[in-house]
Amino acid sequence: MRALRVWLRRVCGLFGKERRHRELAEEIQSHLQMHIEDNVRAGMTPEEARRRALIKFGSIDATQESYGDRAGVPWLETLLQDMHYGVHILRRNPGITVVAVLTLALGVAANIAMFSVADAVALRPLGVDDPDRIVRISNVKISGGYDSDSSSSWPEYEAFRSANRSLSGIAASDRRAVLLRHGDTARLLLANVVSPNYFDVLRVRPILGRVFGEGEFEVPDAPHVIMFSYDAWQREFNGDSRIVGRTVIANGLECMVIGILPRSYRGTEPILNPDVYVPLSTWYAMSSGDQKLYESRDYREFELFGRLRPGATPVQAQAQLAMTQNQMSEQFPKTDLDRLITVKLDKEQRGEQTKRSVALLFCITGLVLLIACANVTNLLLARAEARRKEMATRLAVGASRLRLVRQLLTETLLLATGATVAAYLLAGWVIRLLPSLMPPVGFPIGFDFRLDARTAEFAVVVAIVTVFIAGLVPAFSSVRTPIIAALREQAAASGGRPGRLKNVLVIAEVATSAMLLIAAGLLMRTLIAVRSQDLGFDQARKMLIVTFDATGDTLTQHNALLHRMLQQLPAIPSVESVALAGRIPMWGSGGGANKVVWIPGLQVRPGDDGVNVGYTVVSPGYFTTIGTRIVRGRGIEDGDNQNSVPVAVLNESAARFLWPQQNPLGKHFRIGGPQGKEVEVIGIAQDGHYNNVVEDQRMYMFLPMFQESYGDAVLMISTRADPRNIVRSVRDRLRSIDNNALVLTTITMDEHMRYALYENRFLVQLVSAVGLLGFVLATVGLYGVISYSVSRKTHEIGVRIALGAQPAAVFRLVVSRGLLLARIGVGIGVAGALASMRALSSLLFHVRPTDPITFAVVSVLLLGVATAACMIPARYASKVDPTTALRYE
Amino acid sequence: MTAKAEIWQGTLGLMVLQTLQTMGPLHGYGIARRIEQISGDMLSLNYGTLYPALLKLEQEGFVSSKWGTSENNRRAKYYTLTRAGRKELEAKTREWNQASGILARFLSPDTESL
Repeated sequence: MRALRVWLRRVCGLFGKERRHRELAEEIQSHLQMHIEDNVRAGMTPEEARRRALIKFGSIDATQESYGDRAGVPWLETLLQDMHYGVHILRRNPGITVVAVLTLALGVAANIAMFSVADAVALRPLGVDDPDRIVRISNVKISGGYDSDSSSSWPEYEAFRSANRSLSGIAASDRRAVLLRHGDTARLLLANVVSPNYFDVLRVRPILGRVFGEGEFEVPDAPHVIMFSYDAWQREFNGDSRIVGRTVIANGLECMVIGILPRSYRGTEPILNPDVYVPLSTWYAMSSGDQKLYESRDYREFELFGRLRPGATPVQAQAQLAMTQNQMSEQFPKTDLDRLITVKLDKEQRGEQTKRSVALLFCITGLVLLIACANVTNLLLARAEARRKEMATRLAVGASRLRLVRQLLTETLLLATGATVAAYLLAGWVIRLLPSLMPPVGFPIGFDFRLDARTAEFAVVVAIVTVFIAGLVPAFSSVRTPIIAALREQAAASGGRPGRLKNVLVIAEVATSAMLLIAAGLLMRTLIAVRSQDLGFDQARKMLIVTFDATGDTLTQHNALLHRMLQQLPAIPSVESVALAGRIPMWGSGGGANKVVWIPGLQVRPGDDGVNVGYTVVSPGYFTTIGTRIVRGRGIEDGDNQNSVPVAVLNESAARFLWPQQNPLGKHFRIGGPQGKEVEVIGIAQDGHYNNVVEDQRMYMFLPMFQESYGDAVLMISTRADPRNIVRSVRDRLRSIDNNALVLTTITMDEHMRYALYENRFLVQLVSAVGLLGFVLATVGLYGVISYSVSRKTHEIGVRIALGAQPAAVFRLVVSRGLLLARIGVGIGVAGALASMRALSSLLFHVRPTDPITFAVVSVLLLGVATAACMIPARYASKVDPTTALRYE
Repeated sequence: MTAKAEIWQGTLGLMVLQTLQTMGPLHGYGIARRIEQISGDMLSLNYGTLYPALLKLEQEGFVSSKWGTSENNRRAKYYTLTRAGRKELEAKTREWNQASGILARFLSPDTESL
């Protein structure tokens, strides 16, 4: 306590120093006077009395100094003094200060924004209590194949729950869609169907109402309840708190809204923020068909979470669950054989999935920060040159080198602080732009980008790192000055080392930005290649893609409904053709469905029943509507229905694989294995891309929609004019076909392709933005170094001109010196890119990682701008007036 | 043995407190003279070193200071012992007596152990 009080007094002592100093002087004065008087009284002469008193007192200076140290906090005072002086120095060179702050601000802002992105995508913990104890339970088939999903079935979940000892609870959740009626309209919402204990395990507190819990659904006729996410509550109900306790109609069922979740809880996947949470029993009431589905052992759609008991480890939990799995695989070999259970901490698992892309992004922005630091280092080095005399003087009068380094680092700290504040504002602006880059799909997809305490912490760390990277070298190099030489102003001739260092830094900047721009160029060429590529369908077609809600009670009624759509929609003016498909190419990010295809004599891996072939169901008219060429045979036609032989259209890759060098038309294969349904091949469609634009050729087939049991269908309508014009007519026509039919979403093919290429485009934009930033910074750096060297060589240039050098020659000399640096930089950058761009090849399409055009364009661009940057100081140099320049001496 | 011993910081503070205890409020010069007198000139201190020590005591709250007038009508800063200072003095004196008691017994020639 007492120590604290002393410190408080000392910190207060930092103020009112003047007054205290005066007071002490007065006190010493009165002390001496009293002593002198006493001495005189003792019989000394006044001179002797005074002399004795002074001797007895000791050094007045020393007393004042140690009194002053004791009164305040010396190091804090030094820091304040350094800052005061630093501000003074920075204000004396406003140009350098502004450039340095802006440069650093750009570099730091890029890193803050990137951290905010990485935090939203991967790093931020779940919005639950004690998120560090949450584990994810994954359940994967060991023999792989396409079925590499990690979800579990409901029976497995129940077995795990009763066997588990290490977890205080296990929760399950499945993503589904819920149609929420609002009077005449309806909205499709993303739903999490969850086990009743979901919120007990995760521990989320609602902001309104309550959460549902374990016990409440065990009674018969338990009420049907639903909870909304914060965002959905705002969007659907304008944040009206009276909604809690009311009923809403979801999937045709009346449910009571019991609570609203907090804004910080966004489900368990960073990109998806579910709108509603539905307990399992309510879901069964909404869609009765699902109970049977959920109870089957091989419908594995539930993601499982657990919460570790205190002291328990994921390894223990995993051992227990694996044992349970073993028992199940003996009991149910048909469905449960060869599965691997792993239990991992949630934070570790998410870190693993995104480790590489996060590392890549941070490498890129880290490079930009390094470029920015290099620029500031150069500026500070240049200024250090100008201050050599000052430093030498201070050293000569006895300042310690460490003290001067501290002073210089304090100045850099001021710069970095200003830059970080500016960067924070800039990053906030960038982050507000980010959501607009996200695809505006019907579901609440998108990350929660924000600036919060975590980003602030990160910014402070970046600022400190910046101070040391940018400030240490200039600080040490400026105090290493030989004092005498600097004082004699011979410094100009001897400053070899910092000059070389500046050149190296500029070369590094140019090289780095060359690499970034080459990466951006390659990604951009990929995007262009994709847009002009034949993807196996006509991506330029004028087409409206419609998702809808219309279901017949029986399969026959449902099919009749779909048939009516195919017959009546072409009557809308400007419609060319109409078709239905289970999914269209590039639909969503998922892999699409597969079926196992078997033919006699097919060589397959032991344990497999055939090969996996991707598929979709399509209606007649699909191929003409979407523009996929049938290379042999015919497409799916009206006659291919439940009464006719099962048929299929294969793509070229599948046909080639199954019947190499044979005519596949009229051949038969079986679906699901040797005992499966027999299907006849009636046509071959051109190969295409089905899931994403950079995927390899894969086997695919098209099955007649009306030969399969019903599932989801998407409506495709190709038009002669702008497809947006027919949205109203489609909506009305669908209503007239079926009273309950609703249009859910409509997008054009063009929009669809933009969303499908979203990831690629995002990457291009990101890398180009960062590359351009680096490029601008490197240009500024080059300009700075060249103009600084011109200003230092004004004298030399003056001599040359006085001796008869032509201004044009001087101009060329300066430009060529700058270009030499730029050329070396571009050379190193190109070499680095040649060596490293292979890492990008999985993101490239029809562009080689060594694409000569990209390399050439980037090199020419960089050298061109470098020349321009050097021309300004070169012009200045060529106009040097010899008489003025020589007068400097 | 050297007649004039060096004195160290901690004891100087204690001596100041003791001086103020016996003499009442006193200025810096008076305190210095008093300490020198009591120690019988065995102790020589630069009077200047007294002032940082007084500041420390004041920061710790053991003394308080106020400007006043001396017997010779001279302006001087007077230091007064506070309540906390009195307690501190008692505690320190007790400690000191114990320590010196132990040392005295240890060093005296007529101890049994010798």
